[in-house]
Amino acid sequence: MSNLFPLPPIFEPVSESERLAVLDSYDVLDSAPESGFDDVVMLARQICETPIALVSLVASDRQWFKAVSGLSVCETPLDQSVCAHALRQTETLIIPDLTKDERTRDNPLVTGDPFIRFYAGALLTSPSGIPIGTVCVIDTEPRPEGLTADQQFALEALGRQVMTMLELRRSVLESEMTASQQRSEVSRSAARAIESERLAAKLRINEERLRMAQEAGRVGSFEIDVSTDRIAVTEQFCLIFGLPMTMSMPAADIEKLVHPDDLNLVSSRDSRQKGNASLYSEYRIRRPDNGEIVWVARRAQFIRDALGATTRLLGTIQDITERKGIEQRQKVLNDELSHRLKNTLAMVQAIARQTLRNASDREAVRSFESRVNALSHAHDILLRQSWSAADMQELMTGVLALLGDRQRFVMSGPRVALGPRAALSFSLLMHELATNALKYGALSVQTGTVDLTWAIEGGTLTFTWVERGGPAVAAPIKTGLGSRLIDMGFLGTGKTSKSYNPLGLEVEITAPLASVEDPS
Amino acid sequence: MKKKCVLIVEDEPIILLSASDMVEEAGFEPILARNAQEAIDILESRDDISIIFTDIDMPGSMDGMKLAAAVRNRWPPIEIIITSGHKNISQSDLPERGLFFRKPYGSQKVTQAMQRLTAGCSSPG
Repeated sequence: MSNLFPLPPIFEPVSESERLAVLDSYDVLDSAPESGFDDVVMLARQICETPIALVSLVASDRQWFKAVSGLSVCETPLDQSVCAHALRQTETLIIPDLTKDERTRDNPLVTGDPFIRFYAGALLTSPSGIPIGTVCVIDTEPRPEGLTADQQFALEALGRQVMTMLELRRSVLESEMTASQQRSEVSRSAARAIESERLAAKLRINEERLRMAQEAGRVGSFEIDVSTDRIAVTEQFCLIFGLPMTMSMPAADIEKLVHPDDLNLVSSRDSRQKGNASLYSEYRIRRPDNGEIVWVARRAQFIRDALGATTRLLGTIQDITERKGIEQRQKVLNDELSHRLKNTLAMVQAIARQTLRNASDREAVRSFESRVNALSHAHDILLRQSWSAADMQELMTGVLALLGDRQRFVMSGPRVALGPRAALSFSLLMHELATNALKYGALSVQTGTVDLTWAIEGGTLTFTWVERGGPAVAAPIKTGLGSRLIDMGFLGTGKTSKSYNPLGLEVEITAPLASVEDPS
Repeated sequence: MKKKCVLIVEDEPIILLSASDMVEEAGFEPILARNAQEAIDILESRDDISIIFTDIDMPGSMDGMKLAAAVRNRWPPIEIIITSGHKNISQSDLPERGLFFRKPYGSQKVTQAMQRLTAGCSSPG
């Protein structure tokens, strides 16, 4: 028989034995059907509009189908395999008419039942570049036109999806194995050595994908090829974006849907090439089908080649419109509650003022009003963080500004986020210290200043208040509420030491950090 | 000398009374209005108001912000102080020369501001 069509060069970076070792490492031959793989062949059939689709793995003596649709066999001898030819190529093998191809015209499946005529197979390639099989579609009619560009792209994407599942499957098997103590892994060790490094990176992505999938039902995924700038998407992705069902499109088509104000939040051709696109972002899109604005969260991961250049960006898309809506309503509610609380505090002040209208001690009324103000201010700061925490310095600055000149206070210390209860308690404490300083201490004269310092050491927060430049001080004979509040320290848990240094009052307050940070 | 008049606009009676005392203690004569329309009626009937001190949230078609804008437009010399429990009031929302105090306000801060605004003319009291 003359060789009219010379065979393509055999791509063989590794020996056949190495290739079989890699295949063996997935431990998939003769395993039970799994729905993920069945879905892939269903999709491949639908997309490529063929009666038959297979996930075929090429072993030493046979090809075995992990998933099959449209054929009743689950394996064939190697001499009936078209996929074996696909493995000798580096690209997707498309044979428009099997009766006219040197390699396949004598194949029993072509010459006899089921008389197959058309074949297209995308390679299943391990992360180290070793082909182990194909995801292929087969027709009983010849197809001179082959596959469309979209169909071919989709078939290749499905091929990558199969590999991802195979690796995920393997990692599950491996962890099960570790759990049941070591079984013999000798036969796999050689292949693992080749795979391990790239696999480690890949597995992290897989775990992340799995986690994301579990997190919420409505997750779509995508994969952008950096060199072609095309995006492959899943059905769920199209549902979220309001796109007609499609497998791939130019990435620019998706970018057109992004809300103009959020364009800086999504990846661009440039940031994908440079690999500096942000890996998590939340942004709005306008659905082309109904014009609705939808909030999505995108998590992504770059895949890089051996030189570190980005080749693909893959990730997931989740519809978070509902969550955003809840957050928005929460904020409105918080603001409204805050407004009402403020008005109530204002009424409390007014009631006190009117009740004590004829009281001789006007000072007491003023103290009361001032304390309510300090409390109200702490509330403002807490509200900004939805009542989760308040920055210590911000609290001090705010409360002290109610009472005195900002220039008279020198503050230094690390960032400390106080929990809501500690924040309220600390605000009152600041208020009492400052009020005291205004009446008797450094702030009662023009030249006095107050040094506020705080530090965290060994899980303890230490705060010091040191007055200087005021009149000579001595311990008071009578102690009022302010003084007693100061002695209580933080939420009653800490310790306070007061020293009536003649140069000025010195107060040191300590508290376990856990007790003031804890938002309980 | 006649005391300077502060027009207080507030729908909550106890706060109105309290503000009245606060203003009086600071040496001004308080004039009370329970909503924006009453305030406008008062402003139209007399010409001795130096300051208007108004709440924002009040029943009726006109709130404190609209009232303040109307005052700035029709009675430009009158100083304006606005108060509210709302936190999202920025300087750009206020009329020219307007001041804002968040509720609950410190009476000393407010009365000091009133004295500052009316200084330069004859002193109050």
